[in-house]
Amino acid sequence: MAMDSRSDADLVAAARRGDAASFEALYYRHRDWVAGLARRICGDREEALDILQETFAYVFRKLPELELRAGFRTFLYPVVKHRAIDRKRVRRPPVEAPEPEAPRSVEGAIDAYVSQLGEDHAEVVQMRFADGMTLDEIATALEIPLGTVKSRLHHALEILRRKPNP
Amino acid sequence: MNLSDSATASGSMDHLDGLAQDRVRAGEGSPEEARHVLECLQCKVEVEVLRFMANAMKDAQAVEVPAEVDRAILSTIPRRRRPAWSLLAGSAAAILAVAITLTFVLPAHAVDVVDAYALSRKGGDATEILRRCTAVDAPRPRKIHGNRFVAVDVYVEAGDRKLAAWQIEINTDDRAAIVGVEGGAGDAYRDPPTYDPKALQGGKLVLAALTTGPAPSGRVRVARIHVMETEKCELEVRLIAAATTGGERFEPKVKLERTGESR
Repeated sequence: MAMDSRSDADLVAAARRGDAASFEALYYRHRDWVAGLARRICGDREEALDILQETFAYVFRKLPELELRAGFRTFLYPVVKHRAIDRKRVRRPPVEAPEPEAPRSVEGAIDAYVSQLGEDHAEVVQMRFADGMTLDEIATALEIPLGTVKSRLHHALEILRRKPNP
Repeated sequence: MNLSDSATASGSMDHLDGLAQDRVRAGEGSPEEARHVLECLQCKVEVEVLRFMANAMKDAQAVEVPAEVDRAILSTIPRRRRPAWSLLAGSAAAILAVAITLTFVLPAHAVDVVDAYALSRKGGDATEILRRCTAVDAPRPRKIHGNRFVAVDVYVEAGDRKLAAWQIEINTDDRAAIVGVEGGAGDAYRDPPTYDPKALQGGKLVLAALTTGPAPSGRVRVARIHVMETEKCELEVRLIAAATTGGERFEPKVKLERTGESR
């Protein structure tokens, strides 16, 4: 399907001038990523869809003052993350915790891998692998030095190397 | 192991470190790093493992967003109503803006397949618009006890224009009921068009389809319908809307041709 070839910054600038089609294009360009990220953090599909809605409502409210100095996703990331964490926090835990099982699927192997990383390292590797962000974008989105991102990713990759392949 | 960007295949290093392998995986590696991976089996395997992990992580978090969520989100954007002349302006952006406005602001009867096409070109999901614009109000099944079944081909004569979207209405007289719908000829319209299933067994049907791929021109068989009749009935067809690949509305002729009859 034909997609809008303008950059995120151009679309944001046009949306600020009241061009609904540009906002529409931004939405469709980043919709799936926002929903996926929200689901990954909060762990619930329905809540992820709520977060998607909240996130773009927030973006729309912010438009008048929004000037992209980095990628649009570096702007979106903390917005989605904080909402997803809030949702996860207030959600009641399941009545019975499931028995831990040996990973039998690819998804299980990924979970097992991610679970042995610290939270900070897991976040970086997921932003890199699942979200396809560059190291610079990760550093900007997390507001940490680039060297820290490299260090965390390096550590995570070393753990992956030591594990049998999924 | 060097954590800086300087980790390459050159010098005394036998293999790339994890960061360099990941750069190659992401298409961000230097030419030297990419070349090393091509030539070094161990690094090649390890890059493939990273690629597999990345793809699996992407797949694991995928969420399908329903069309109603899209509508709920996009309907909150204030939109300026466009004057009617912008429909004829030929600009895809103008048509899209109008299509979106029609989709979210105006009642169901106002949207048509050209709006759906404009949304599809933008990468949006046009399913809901197609459903709405082909819905038949209060369809009434007919009690036809006919013993004649006839296939009727539906043609759109696009001339030298590329037929990217079309929507038509077909009516029969009281002696017949439309009982089936098939796709047409050619890649673009081989699948059955969108229609309201509740309208089957009745005398009125609205069909619509669009393509964002290559669009045919000339005389295009866009669909085939099946009619049950007590005796040879009158069939009428009228164009509701059509668009070229540029999103421009046009008014091609539409025709029906009986192709076969069985008892």
